Amino acid sequence: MSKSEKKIVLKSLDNEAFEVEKAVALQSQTIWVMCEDKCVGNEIPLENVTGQILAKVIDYCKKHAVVDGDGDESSEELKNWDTEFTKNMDQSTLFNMILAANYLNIKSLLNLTCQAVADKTKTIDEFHTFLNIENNFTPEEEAQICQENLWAFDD
Amino acid sequence: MSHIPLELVEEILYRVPVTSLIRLRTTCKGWNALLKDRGFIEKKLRKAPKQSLVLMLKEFRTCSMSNNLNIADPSIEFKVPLERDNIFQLFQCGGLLLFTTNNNRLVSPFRFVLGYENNNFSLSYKILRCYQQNYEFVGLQIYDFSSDSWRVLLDVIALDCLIASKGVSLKGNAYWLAYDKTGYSDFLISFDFTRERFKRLCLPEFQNLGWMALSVERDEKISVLHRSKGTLKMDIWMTNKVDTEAALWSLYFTVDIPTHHDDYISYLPTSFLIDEEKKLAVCCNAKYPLVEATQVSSLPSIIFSYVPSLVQIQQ
Repeated sequence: MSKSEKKIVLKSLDNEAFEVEKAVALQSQTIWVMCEDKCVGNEIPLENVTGQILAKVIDYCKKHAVVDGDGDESSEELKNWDTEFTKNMDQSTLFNMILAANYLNIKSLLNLTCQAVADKTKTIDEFHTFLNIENNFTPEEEAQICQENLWAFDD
Repeated sequence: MSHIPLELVEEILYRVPVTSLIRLRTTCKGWNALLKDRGFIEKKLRKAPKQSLVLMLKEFRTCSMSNNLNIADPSIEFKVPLERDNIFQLFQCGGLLLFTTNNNRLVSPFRFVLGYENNNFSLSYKILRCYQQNYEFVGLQIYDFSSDSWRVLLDVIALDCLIASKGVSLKGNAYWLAYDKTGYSDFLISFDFTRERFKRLCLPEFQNLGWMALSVERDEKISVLHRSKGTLKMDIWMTNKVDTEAALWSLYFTVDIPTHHDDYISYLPTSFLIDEEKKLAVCCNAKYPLVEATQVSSLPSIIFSYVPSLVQIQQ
């Protein structure tokens, strides 16, 4: 395999191009299927992901890729790296990372980012903001539900 | 920010602890419905890491829950919604609590245990009612919530032994300490709510005769506390493969009974919980105060590990 065949170019929604090792990109099931199809050349357009988010996704994939015996990172180290990776992400980045992980079909990244949201989002208001949800309960209905589940609300 | 597809919302919610999820019922109508949906609840049980709380019953009336074994400072306390009677038994299974009261202060000969049939697609809850006389099960009946009826159950294994402990629940099935009517051999018996059969299982090989109690940690592992006769030590044994023919027991740690405890010479716990990291056992029985490895505290009568879930029984 020549050097150029081992590389692949990913192009973001805003036309930013990233050249990465094939082994790194193929962690995405979506890209893997696209490559299998052979309809695309060495350049893969990703119409749902911005350059800013794609750069982070590639960082993640690089860390998790097993390239030519280079993947001897211990699981403990990887876990710590994952924690650091999502620790300082703001809500909007996390939100877009979840959408990207889902679109690109990278299971472990989807798990990681969903877990990060579940850990970071504590109050009902935070969930409302994060998921853009409107409360459609009347105050009476809301009080009724609180009453039914009193022990969980009581602290 | 745009909307996120429902399947991704579910992926996030699987990872939120149950006690927080219950509060999210007031988020909006869609979520309230989702959090009551059977498919969601069962997927959550399978996918999510389990939350574990410590639940105590105090003076047969009040339940308290705590996030850790610091039982002096429970985070949640609630009165059992029963007016007159005292709680006689308390059994937990898959996040549901089953209370039995002693009507008119008479001790009921019935023991009730809750379990569920697990057929990979859905959980169906059942109650086993054991008529107990002098440590023997002399009659067994099973109640199925889906058919709302009682059936008589015949099982020679159960009727052929003496029951030496309260029942505990692990992954929908029930377990008791038991011994042979004739041979004095100790063993564990289990009731499989799917096959509706009892089974004998082995216990660790103890060096000496002694007192035992049974506990389940996080709905994952079963442990046995053993106090050898005439010693001030209690051994904690554990297994996470209880249903294999030869359960793989290992001696987990040993604790000393604190000698400042009023009744340390004859203290026999009926329930206990362990802190795996600190190698600590918190024990209690109905009559005596609670013993921790180093301190004596308030008066719960039962202590166990409680894994909350969103399960509701449909009737």
